[in-house]
Amino acid sequence: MSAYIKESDQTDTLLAQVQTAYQNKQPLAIQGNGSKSFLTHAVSGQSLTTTEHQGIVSYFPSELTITVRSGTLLSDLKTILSEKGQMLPFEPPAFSKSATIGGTIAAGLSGPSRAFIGSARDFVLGCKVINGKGELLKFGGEVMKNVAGYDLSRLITGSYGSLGVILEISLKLLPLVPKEQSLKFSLPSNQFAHKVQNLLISGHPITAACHLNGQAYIRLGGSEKGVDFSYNEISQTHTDLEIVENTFWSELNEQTLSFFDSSQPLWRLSLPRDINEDDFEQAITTEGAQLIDWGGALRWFSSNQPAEKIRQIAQLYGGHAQLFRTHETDMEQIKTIPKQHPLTPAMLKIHQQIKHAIDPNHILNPGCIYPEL
Amino acid sequence: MKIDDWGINNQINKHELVQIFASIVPENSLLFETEDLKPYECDGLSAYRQLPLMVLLPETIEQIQSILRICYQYEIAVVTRGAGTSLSGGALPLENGIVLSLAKLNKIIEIDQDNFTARVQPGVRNLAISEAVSAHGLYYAPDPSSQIACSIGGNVAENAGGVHCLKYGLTIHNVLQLKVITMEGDLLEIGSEALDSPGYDVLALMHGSEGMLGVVVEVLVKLLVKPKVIKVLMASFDQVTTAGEAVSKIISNGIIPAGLELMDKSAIRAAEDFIHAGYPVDAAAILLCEVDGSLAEVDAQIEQVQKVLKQSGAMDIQIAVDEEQRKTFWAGRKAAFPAVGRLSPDYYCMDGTIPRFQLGKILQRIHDLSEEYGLAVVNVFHAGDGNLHPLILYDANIPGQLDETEKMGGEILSACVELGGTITGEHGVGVEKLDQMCIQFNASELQQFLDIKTAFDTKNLLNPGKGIPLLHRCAEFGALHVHHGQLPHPELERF
Repeated sequence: MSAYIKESDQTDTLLAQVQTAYQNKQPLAIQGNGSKSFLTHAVSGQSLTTTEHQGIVSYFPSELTITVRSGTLLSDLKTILSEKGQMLPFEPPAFSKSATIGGTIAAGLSGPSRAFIGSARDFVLGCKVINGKGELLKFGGEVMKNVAGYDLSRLITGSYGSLGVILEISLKLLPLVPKEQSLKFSLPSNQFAHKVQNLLISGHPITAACHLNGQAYIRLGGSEKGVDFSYNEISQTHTDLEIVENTFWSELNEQTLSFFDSSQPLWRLSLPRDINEDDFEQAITTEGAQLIDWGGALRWFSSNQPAEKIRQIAQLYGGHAQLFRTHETDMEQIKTIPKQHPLTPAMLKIHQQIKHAIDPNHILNPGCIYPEL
Repeated sequence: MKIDDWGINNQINKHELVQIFASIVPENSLLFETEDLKPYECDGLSAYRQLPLMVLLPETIEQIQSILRICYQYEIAVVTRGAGTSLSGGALPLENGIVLSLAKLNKIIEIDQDNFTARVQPGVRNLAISEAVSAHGLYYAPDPSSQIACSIGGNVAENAGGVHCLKYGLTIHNVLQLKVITMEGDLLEIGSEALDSPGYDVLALMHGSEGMLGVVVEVLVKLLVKPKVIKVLMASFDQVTTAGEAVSKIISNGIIPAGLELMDKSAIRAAEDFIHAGYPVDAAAILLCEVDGSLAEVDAQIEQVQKVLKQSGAMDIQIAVDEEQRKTFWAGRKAAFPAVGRLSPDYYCMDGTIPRFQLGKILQRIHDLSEEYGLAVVNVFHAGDGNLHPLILYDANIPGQLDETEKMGGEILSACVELGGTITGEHGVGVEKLDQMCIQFNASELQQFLDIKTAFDTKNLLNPGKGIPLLHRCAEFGALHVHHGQLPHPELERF
């Protein structure tokens, strides 16, 4: 095992803290290093941090699985994996050097490969958590296929700590692809989603596809032969095709592209891939700028338009809108509105019942996603 | 075996219930005479049989809502049934419960070729989806062996897998949205046409929940682009463990095959006798390895796989020369179960999963158990993802042999857990593996599952007695985890 990841098992300490909180009905503000805290509402409660709970519990490269403690730094984990020619297939954004794997799974975010390879929860195999009663529970496992018991490890992914303090997480890995090649060519936005679908139908090994400022950006990933073949074929139909550095995708993922410099609130719209782009843009981009990712299924939109309008349009097109980032200079009103898209009454009821089943005293990050949870 | 239905007490008699349901569904959708109920007395696990109180075959979502509201009001247990192909007794009826068959909800509602999705009713057969979208160059990836017959609703309930899971995922990875009716009759839309949804991942929770949380009435599945080229190669080995090591080496070399299956000597012989696939009957094991993608991609991978297999000690490697031979290679594997059916009056199919590097140990353990019990075992193995299907051969007509078989199967599953694996990879717990759940999970974990169940179904009426054992059952089975010498829930009686 690599020497530079600290091995530190804080299970007993964390367990004791949750047990006391359960008995005292004391809310806990659970966090890693807070690199994604801007995604949730502040929790007023006793601080519980998983950052000291670090280390690789087991790593079997030939099994494509790893089990890691939640406080382990995402950057360290990625290094360990790349040393063995492997990767986290869902390309999670870090947003900070101090991002932990626990926070990554709690936020459930996935990067540019998501539409083609899969999401964070798709690669979660199991977890060890502390529930709201202060019980140490293990769900799933370290095997690819497992249908024993309900799939609580995937339920907990993306629940921002409100369904359990994540102690360990088991993930499915994939090998690094032998070759990646990124390219761009000019294309109107209303042809983008269709273009990506056609490239997929033609069998091109696409692992990322976004659209920005009149340009389609495509990443090909696979064997050297396969990628070269695809590159040549695509370049024949797009005469203005240019090669792009592969680092473009990490800049997109980490939101360091100049598109993200906007001082307006940043919205994340998750939509069906192929919508009527002209109608959509007419409805929504009257004011603001859009970057399309995930081959059409994800839109980053910076705009000062009213939240209700953005959410209404997202919903009309079959998706939802999350207020992803606000800025110091934004109007006060935007800082207080719910970050997550509201749930339907029927789904909210189920969410409350699930929350109650796992955390009966409502001590785990209460209100961090929705006030009712 | 008497199924514990968690003490459901119907608050209405059968006659009155028939009267009520007759006002909700057409006459031919309501079965209550013994001869009509007979076809529903078991699912794919035919060793367990039970006639239900009645069977309903609703035709609309509204009818299902009404049925569930009635059952909620009068506290009637509901066992939802798709095609009835479950291998774990998930759709086994309960004596005082109804069977809710979704067989009539069998329409493909919409194919959206631009978004690569299909919206289907739960009774649509798995293979029918791929057939319907094939002309668009698309297909639905999860392919359980029963795909000709099994329904997509059942696939969701079991989180069904298949031979292509390693690369293309399970049902959970290939479904975007579900419409689900709760026991109280509420319609939930879980997930969306987009790739994610706000709030908790309830979509993931529904998969593999064995009909205990809600009734799936519509499924939006993701479709994939059919690969341009598919090639399969067959490698033979003189030892099973060498074949197992070869699997690990393929994956360590950065190759994710579309399918990677291992068969042991007895499986090879049974399949060869039955199908004549051209399998090497002298080999101790064969590996079938399928790669797909663009022509360039497949050529590159086949070359690499061949090299790895040679280095790993394969005695012989054959690449299917054409589509016909590729299908023949697979035909042997796909017919392995019926082929074994020719060897023995009955067989019992297990479904444990282990980390692949434990293959040698588990095969040894299975071998030892086989000798100990005097029951032959045939091994077929989804080697890529560590999912074992040992088939225990037995004869149900010999008194006591089924019990012995189940006991031996239980020991195999316990061994899988000891080796870091799980008791079920894709067949589900159903009624079959309730005792083994007590080995895999401790009392707090089981209680957490039960609390989740109650969160969806306050009166515990949806498929009670399946999937999750009650704690007293584990206490009786004597297999509750003992943690630091302390018995969980000391207040429970133990027998």
